[in-house]
Amino acid sequence: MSDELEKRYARVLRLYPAGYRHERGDELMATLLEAAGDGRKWPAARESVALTIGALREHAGGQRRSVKESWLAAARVAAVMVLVSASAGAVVRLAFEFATGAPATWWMVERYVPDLAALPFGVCAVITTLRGRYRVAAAATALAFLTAFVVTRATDEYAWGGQWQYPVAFALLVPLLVSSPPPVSGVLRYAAVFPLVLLVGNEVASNLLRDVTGIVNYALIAALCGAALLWVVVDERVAMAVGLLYLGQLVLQLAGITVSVARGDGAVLGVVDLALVIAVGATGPLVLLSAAALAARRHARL
Amino acid sequence: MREPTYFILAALQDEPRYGYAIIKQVDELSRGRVKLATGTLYSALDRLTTEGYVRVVDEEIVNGRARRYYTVTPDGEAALRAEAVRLAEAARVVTDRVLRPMEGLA
Repeated sequence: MSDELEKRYARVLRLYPAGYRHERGDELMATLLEAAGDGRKWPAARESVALTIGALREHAGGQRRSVKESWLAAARVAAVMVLVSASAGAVVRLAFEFATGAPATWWMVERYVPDLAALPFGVCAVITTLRGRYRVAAAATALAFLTAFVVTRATDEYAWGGQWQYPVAFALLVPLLVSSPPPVSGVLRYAAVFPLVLLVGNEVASNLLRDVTGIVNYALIAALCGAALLWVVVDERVAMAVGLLYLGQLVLQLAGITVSVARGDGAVLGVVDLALVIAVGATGPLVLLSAAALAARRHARL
Repeated sequence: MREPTYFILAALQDEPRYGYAIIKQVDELSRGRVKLATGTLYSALDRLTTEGYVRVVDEEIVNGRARRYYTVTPDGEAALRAEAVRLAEAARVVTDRVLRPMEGLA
């Protein structure tokens, strides 16, 4: 019976990184078996849960970090996600348009000229942010915005990737100019993939699931936010980064509404409609950032 | 300091202990309130070792597996005492207030 229990605990312990298992594996197993006592065949649920969370935290870079370090790391990851979204938006759309049979003509590309003009600076900003060269990244982000802005004015084309994403990314980079975050680990290393998944998902939905495009998009965003919220017990920086990402989108949305109202473009939103827009847009970031802030304070304690 | 961390340091005050012995001592000191899971214990020991509050003082092989004994360091004892004082001061905010009306009746 002890052999069966040991095999079952060994399966759970395999979740830990190899180095940690080599260092601590025997000791953990000895403690687990002694705590289990005689007669137990199955691992205790609370032991399995604690081991799983402990293992995931080790993969996420198990060391203790201050609240400030968590926020800085999250700002860096959020900046990368916003920059990828801003830079890749036009490229993904063009790729799907050509892949679905659109003619490879200049007028197809013309609509995306502002984004494509800003693309080299956007890519530079992504790479330099990932390499920790935040001053260069901030400069590249500013140049990307200015390029897209100037080209938009010159060509009268709208920047589909959203030239206004670049100021959001710049705002996220500013704290990093003062204090550098520690290197990220775990799931955060793949943060740049998330906006690509959302962009590709949006295009797939638009092309193949036209009737439910909006639902699919909201489902993807909800899935990302839900996963980030659940991951708070392992690494609160993911929820912080996703919360900051969508807080930036909310700010852009409100800025857009304000500019439209000031210009007198389109229909003016009533107070109730405006409140609804803010409530819907703010709920996700509010929940994510609040949960992450509480978790960061707890994880910062010894 | 988290409550489990406090009790782990407290469990190491008297003598060096190994993993399961720490779990049992914490259970006893907290009168059953803090029941440490093994994963939680070793995460806490890792944090405490990194901070320099705990260190491995002995190691032996039992049933073919390593058994490490941990002890609290002087820095760990100081941190534990500081936390105990902080908790006592926080408790006095309530206990002093409860006692004062009773003094009026005396």
